[in-house]
Amino acid sequence: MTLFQPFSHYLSYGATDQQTLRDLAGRFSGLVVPGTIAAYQQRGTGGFVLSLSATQAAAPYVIDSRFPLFQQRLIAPKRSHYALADLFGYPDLIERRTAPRPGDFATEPLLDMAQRWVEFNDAYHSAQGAAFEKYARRLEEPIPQPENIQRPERILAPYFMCDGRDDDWWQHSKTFWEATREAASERAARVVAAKSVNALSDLIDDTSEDELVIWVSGLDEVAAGYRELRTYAIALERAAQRGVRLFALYGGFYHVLMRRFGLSGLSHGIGFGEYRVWEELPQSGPPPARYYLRRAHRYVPQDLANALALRDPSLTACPCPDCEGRRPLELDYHALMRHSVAARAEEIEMWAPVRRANIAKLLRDELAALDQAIRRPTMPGPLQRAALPYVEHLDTWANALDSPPA
Amino acid sequence: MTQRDPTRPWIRTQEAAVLMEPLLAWLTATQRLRVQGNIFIEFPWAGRRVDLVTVGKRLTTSAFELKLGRIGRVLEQAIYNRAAFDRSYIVIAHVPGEQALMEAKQCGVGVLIVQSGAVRLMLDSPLARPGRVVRGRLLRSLGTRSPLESAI
Repeated sequence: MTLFQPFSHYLSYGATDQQTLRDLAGRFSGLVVPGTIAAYQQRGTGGFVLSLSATQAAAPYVIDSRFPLFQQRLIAPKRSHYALADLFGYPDLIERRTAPRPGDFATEPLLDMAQRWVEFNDAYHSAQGAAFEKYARRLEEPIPQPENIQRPERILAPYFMCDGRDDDWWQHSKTFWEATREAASERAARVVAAKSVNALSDLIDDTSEDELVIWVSGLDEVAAGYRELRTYAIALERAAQRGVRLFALYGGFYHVLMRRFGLSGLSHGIGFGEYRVWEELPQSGPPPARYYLRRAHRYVPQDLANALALRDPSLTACPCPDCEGRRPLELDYHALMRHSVAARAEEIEMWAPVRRANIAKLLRDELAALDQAIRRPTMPGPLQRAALPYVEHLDTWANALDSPPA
Repeated sequence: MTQRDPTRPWIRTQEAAVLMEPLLAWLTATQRLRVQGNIFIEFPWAGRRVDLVTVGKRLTTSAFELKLGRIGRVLEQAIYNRAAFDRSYIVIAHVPGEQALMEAKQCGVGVLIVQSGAVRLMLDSPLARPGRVVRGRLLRSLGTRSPLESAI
């Protein structure tokens, strides 16, 4: 399955995910490799990703430029940021003192960076030979033959985070896109990154491509209000009506529902990363150990899930191999991660045949059943009070999709 | 905000300042914590920190959650602790309401009241071994950390 083929389920690759990805081979469509990791860990990440691409499961992959890193002040840049800046050929992309402005970027360097990005993508599959043996051994696969090693499925053009078509950064994004398309031809794919759902709608209207990779900064599905979520659905649907196929760089279950509004696929991190804020966090690390509660379509604290399971096992029932015969607290870190991906894959499959007109009702039915189970007298008050906020978003989602956009 | 005392590094919160030392003294006086028993302050577990963990004879584990004010959140955490520790307590400064006391009893959570430096066991936490997998992980996790020997 490819990026724009409904309904593709890509995973964002993190350096700590190799074991989980090996275990999940065949249960996801492909990988999105962050440019920072691709640049900083060229041998390791390349060896692993390319070995995986050459297995029977043949997971395709794309590399995300993560270029908005360089349109902000980086107070504490990481080595991977420097590596990415070097890859683009401009180490001074790292700006530690002041926030860069659009006027700081001239056209010539943008054209040059796009050219270098395409060259990096084109050469990616051929530069990692020495690491193949190690990763093939880990994957328990034969050493990949050169003819089986895949290039990036598409070359995602570098992009800026933009606030609408009048934002000067959008002009730079256009420059990046046009230069990438010229260098990579039909292999290029355009990325539209927006600071809000309204900005996304405006930006999509200003494009003419029939395939777009999209990202709305900070669109947290479980915290967003129904108006914002509805506006998002409308934006996707308007694009789909123009024949545009859309792939979301970040998304959770609400994005699975967006299939009925024209979304072709989504990506997320393993155990996290269902949304992303474009401003870089001062610190990052592996995702916290949380449990994906299938019935609520979201993550909850592991010990809350366990406490619920002790009192009503149906609340956390899950058919995945990691959950069989185990309570949530009995899952170790990698099992939690595998469970989350298996649950998402199952959600995609289960909700594929659901008609759009039925989505809101089904969500409300799920909420009512959860609410009833949580409020049972046998559920201690502190657990009820802790659990109920974790199901409220289902009502917000139902309200957002109640009267489907025309 | 409590002034940090360099001679008592475990005093990090107001709760710890007011409740921890009487608690540690009481645990020792009642032989629930022997001198050689291990204690762990702010022990990281399941993505949060347990205020105090003690490991006693036959590797019996007890978790204590301390709170001066409202007890709703601390009771919730103590309920979670029941799934991994042999005993689980809340340590508070006021006698809880009837509803909270009933919920604590229902969930096997013990209640300790600290007032004017004196500790009163209002409700004991029954010994209940958690499942093998979770207990094993907890003991491994405890074993990987340097225990802070009782300083009282």
